[in-house]
Amino acid sequence: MTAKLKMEGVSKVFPGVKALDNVSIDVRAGEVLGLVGVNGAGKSTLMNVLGGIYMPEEGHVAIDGRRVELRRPADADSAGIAFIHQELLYFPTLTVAENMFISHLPSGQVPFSVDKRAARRRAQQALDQLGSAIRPSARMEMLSVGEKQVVEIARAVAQGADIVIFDEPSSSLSIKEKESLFAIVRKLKAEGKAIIYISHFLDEIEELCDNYAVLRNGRLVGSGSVAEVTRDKIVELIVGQVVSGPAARQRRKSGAPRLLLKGIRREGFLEGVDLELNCGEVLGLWGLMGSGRTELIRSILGLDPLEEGSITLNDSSGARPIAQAELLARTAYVTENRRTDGLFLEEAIWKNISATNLEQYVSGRMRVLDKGVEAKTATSMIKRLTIRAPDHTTRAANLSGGNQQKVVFAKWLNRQPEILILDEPTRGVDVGAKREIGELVESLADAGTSVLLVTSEIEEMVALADRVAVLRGGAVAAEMQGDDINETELMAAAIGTGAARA
Amino acid sequence: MRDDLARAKRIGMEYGFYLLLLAIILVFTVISNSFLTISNWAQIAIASTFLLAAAAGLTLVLINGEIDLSIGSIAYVAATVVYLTADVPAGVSVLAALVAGLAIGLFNGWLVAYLGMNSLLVTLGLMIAYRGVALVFTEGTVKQAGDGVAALGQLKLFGIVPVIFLVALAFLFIFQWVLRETKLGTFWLAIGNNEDSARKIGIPVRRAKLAAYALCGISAAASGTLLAAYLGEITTFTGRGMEFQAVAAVVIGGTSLFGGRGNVFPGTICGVLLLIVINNGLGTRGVSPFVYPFVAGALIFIAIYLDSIKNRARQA
Repeated sequence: MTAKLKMEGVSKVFPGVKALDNVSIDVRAGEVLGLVGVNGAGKSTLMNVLGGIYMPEEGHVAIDGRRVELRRPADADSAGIAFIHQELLYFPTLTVAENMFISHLPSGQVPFSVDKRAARRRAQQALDQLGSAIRPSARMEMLSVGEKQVVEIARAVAQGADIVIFDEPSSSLSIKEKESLFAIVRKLKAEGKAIIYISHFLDEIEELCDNYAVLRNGRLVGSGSVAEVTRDKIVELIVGQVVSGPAARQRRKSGAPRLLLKGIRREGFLEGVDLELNCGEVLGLWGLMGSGRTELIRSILGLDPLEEGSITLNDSSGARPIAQAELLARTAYVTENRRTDGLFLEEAIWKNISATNLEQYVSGRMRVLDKGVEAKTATSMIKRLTIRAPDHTTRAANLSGGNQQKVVFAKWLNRQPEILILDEPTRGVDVGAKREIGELVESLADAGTSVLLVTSEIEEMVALADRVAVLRGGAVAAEMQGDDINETELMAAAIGTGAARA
Repeated sequence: MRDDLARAKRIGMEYGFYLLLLAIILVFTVISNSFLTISNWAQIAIASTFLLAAAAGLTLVLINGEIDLSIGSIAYVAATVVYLTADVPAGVSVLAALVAGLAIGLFNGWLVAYLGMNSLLVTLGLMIAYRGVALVFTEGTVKQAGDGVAALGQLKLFGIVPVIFLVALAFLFIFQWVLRETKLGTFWLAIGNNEDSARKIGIPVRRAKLAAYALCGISAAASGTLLAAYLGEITTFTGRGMEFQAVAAVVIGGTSLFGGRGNVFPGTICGVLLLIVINNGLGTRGVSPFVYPFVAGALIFIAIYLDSIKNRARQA
């Protein structure tokens, strides 16, 4: 039997990088191929070639043995390729059926009218085919994330796609929803669809896929039958030869405990997390997307509901339980996205920095802000963090990513926090600023600050963390310290090969 | 248990306002002898006609997530056209007034959809400008409509139902059909949900918005024309303050100020009725007319509050 989909010798060059280097994969009808690799390994680029978003410099794509030209997304559509994206595109107040057929609604008898019944019938057929109980007339906003994803899959089925690509489909689903997603993937497989399943979770690959393909640095480094490979082997392929970096650095010894989390639980996301954050250390929170890293932080700070669990704070007045709101007020939280929730982009640097601690600048009976003192604080922060800007009146929007991030740090340091939570602190930051931010984090920990670090960059975790807690499926799966914190161990622990000691 | 509560809350939010309308009608029926009479309801029908006609088109614009504050002035311009064409046959006069509304609607739509101007600000400015244009022709005085048009304004079906009311209802039903049964209507809802996604998925966003503004212009012009026909003259009060009453009625009727949610029938019809019935009912009880703005204002506040709650649920 020939392959349903064949990509042969595909290469794609971006300015300065070879994103794909002579990659060949094939999928047969009724077969699931698991595509794995770290972020930046080339998975997305490869899939964008299939989606008609990138044209490869070399190589070609063939469907049913015939070459196809995929120049734009519409070409992929008509070739029967459908994508189930991580971020779903939908209209909340429209019905399921309308969402499925919005771009080609069937016409009715009366001029201009839509044959709603036909749309609903076709939607029902597609949903039945997936064994889903969602009603086509239900409004989209009433559905759960998992159900919305099912609608997206049904749309692909209804449009006659026979090659379906799932891009990390399970990362935003609860555990129960994952089960029904798996059932649907198996059903599609049984119907003879060719499926590419992208995931970081090796247990999913093992459970669902017939074959695997591993990408690293734009090259296909391994592929074959899932039945004939071990998890350890796949991890090795994903991570590659670990180049022994600079000599293992000195890791800080943990100080007195500062924050104690016990049994933190949130239905579907957190399954009872126990964690201890000490004074003067960098505690890394490691795990894949969907493992509960960001969810844990949001729950303890009261930004998401916390259903069960206790938070205890240890400070000068001793250990005591603390409410989420108070913890939020005492914590510096460098969020994942500085542009949307880290900065007042249109405002000057000095206003951004003083905003966290305005009480400090009021003077006189009228409690007017003293701009002079605010400016002085900002100027000294600019010097201390080497923020590259003409002066303190520069608008935050006009700074580079790295300098913007330094302003975010400055604004929090202005409050002299005991606890510093960092979520992807160096995303979109140039190499120089990255190093400087790293040094800053080190010096803060040396001065006694408790730092909780979330990052998806493995090198950063290895470089900065004194201790690492690995989250998997909403619980702490392993803890590491000292020389155990290296790339292989981290990757293995996150994916769940059992190589790391719990 | 929690599900039941959530469902009850949702149903309450969705249908609560119809129950409120019913309750208010019941209360007035009980406390006033002259409320539930044929002649009083004929009054209510006439009083709601002009607001109904204008609110019909405005609903479509709001569903796109935009707004048109110039509808009151469009109504005045249309009425002025009726005056300027007083010498031609009534049918031509009416048609000319509606075409004027269509032209203004297209212009508004072009500014918003194609030039990307902020609809609130641009139609606020044009509200003043259009009224100014009409004032140039009427010189700020009362003008007579043609006899033919004035006669149309007094027509009654079966000697009781005012034809102008039926015309307004016709607008509402046609617009509801366009909204619910055509591609254009589905596109409007999609645009109101998320304009970016709509564009990405290949919906002709600009053309769809233009069409909504065009229909809104016609509908506002119809309102002014109906008023001119009913009164037999064109007063400078035509359409003044109507934009705010219409926005209030549409939002009370459940259409979201954020777009993507709402309907003409029954929503907007009931919204208009609620405002008119309260005004009328208080009148039949001899309550001071100065109480009305307070009651109407409170209703608008509640409607907008409920709208923001629904919208919050959508974003979560």
